[in-house]
Amino acid sequence: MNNLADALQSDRATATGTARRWLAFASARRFDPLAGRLAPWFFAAALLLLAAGLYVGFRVAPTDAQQGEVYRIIFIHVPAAWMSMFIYLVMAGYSALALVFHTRLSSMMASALAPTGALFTVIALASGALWGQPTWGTWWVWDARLTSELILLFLYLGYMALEAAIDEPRRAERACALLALVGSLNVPVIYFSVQWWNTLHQGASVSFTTAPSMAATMLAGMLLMTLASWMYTIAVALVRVRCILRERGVLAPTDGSRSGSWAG
Amino acid sequence: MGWLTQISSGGHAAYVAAAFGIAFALLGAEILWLRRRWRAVSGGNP
Amino acid sequence: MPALFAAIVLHDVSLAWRRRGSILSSLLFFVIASSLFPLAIGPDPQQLRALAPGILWVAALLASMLSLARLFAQEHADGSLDQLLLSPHPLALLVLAKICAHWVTSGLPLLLLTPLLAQQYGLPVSSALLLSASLLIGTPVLSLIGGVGAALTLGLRGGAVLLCVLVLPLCVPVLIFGAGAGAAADAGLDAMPQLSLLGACLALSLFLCPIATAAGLRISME
Repeated sequence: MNNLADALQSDRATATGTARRWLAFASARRFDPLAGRLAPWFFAAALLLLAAGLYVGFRVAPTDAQQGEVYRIIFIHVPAAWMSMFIYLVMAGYSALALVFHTRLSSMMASALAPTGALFTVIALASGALWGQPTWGTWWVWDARLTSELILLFLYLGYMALEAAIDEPRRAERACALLALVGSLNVPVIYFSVQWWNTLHQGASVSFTTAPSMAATMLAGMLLMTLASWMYTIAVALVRVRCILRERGVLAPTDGSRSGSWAG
Repeated sequence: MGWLTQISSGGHAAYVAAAFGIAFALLGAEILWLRRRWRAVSGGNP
Repeated sequence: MPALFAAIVLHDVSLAWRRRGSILSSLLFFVIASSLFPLAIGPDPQQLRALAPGILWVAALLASMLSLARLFAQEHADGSLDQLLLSPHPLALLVLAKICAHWVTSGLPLLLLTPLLAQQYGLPVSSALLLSASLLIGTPVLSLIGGVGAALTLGLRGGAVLLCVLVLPLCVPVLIFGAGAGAAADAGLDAMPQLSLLGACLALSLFLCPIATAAGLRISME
């Protein structure tokens, strides 16, 4: 175990001052108990922000003039969509770190984030469909944003499929890191091409981008829900990466048993 | 409970409920799955 | 350097020609796949003509994906891939040569066949030629992007399907611009915007994909 920790820290020898301090957390032995202590706080923050967001979204925000009450789906649809894109960006960032600094923990963080990102994409698509049906009479709209979300889901699932297909953990981590980087470079191109395709083929009569004119309270509700999702994502990722560290043999199951439960 | 009746009277309450319900169900399932995964991996640590 | 590049391309092409069965199978797949759609959709000539660019592009995309699985398979099997990795020459350049050879044996035949297949859909010759032009610019991009997938899925069980799953979402922009060019041409509109966008995709992928593929090969082989 100590050899492995040393190996993980091998790049520290070449790093300077502050970089060295940050790279210290690339050590699994340092990171694991920290993750364990932080996770419950992030869960608590998520719950608080969720309560606040739901309150603002349902109690404070007014009824929409055109769409009535159904527009309130926006308070789950937009945060989920934003998170799905944000998480992919963060995954790409961790993947870049992993490939440049050869830190295994970075790619493990990316792996820890992927399932949550995929889940938010599914939630965005499902809530989008449930919004579309009463509003425009159809369960699916080839709207630019929804179509991009669908392709993003394919990117997430592809990442998870590649991870599952490679037995050797190090190869899996580095291959997925490269895939996430290539995918993230492609995402702006995909988004642009889908936008372009959408305006060309449709009259763009229905579009999720033509949101109801935003009252300040609606925006506040969306922001609160987004922050809640963000806190939730961090909490879940911290727990998941602790699982991954043990599953890949970097830490023993009994490591950090003093830290107690799964979230803390 | 005035606001509750007002909100549900706007029609389409089922869709809103379904959207939030699906979201919470999925996220809840994720948490439960993660708990099981942690238990399996930490050798039965609570 | 150029001599080495040409040597690799010629070597791969002649190797593929010796086993031309597999080239012919992917061509056959392209022909069969594009013939399936009229059978499924119905023989209405107007509908078929409207759908032709999209259908032919999707069929070309799928045919390319299937043939990409064998990009590195031969070298991986007989151990010459290790030699490639040890070579003093930049791996990205060697990889680019292999992808070129792959395109010559899979993408090029496809686009030569397209005007013929376009007749099935009642596409006039001028539109069919422009569709072929879009395939001319687009299929190399498919080979380049697919190369990254081939490197990452090297030697994995179920590799071919996994390659498709990984690469198809990344090829969506090429599909949109390529099929869009064909459709614009048939509608009598200017197809230059789409073709220039395709050209931009080609330029970008020519620069980035060989590097990514080389990195992927090192990851898969270490």
